[in-house]
Amino acid sequence: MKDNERNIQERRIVSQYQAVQKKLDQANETLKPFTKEQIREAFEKARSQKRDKAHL
Amino acid sequence: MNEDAYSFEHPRIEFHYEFRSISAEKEVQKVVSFTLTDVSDVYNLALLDVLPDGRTSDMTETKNKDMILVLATVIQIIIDFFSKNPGVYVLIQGSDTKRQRLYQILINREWSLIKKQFEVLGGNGLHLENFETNRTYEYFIISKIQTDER
Repeated sequence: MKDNERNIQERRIVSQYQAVQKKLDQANETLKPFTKEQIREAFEKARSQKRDKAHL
Repeated sequence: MNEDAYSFEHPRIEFHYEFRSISAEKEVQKVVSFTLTDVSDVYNLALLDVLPDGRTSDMTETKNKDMILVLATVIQIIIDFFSKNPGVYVLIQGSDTKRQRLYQILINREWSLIKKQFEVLGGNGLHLENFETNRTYEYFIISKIQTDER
């Protein structure tokens, strides 16, 4: 591989890793107040509201 | 085992998809990444463009006039991800207000298609509710509708 191609490849790996990590940090901040159980319950509640609405 | 030990980090758990967006003007390498968050079974969705020089850019900034095609591809990728990881949740959140608004517009536009495949909660702070097309949200959490629930 030529030096230029290798540099681009390395830049890509680093840049991609950092971009995903930045978004992951943001996601963890957003999800901080929640547990998996609370999210599962929120979906259950939403499902039940949808069913109630459909019956009206 | 009371010996000293080096501190260590565990690797990120990540599922990685790639595709190319092709227009008459340019080709753009797209990356869709699902990364496990601190909440078990909740993955964060990241959409990125890889520029020719190797740098990455937020997908919403690299306009290639094929947003609908890109969105359809991302939906197929999400379906594939859920089929390989049943029972998990995916968080979608723009990195700023402008991008979050764009995601909201795209979900609104494709809502009739999306709601057949996914359950979507809209979130504002601590409040989570069924996604409504006329409301604004800071983030979305989605799960795949199980076949027997349809």
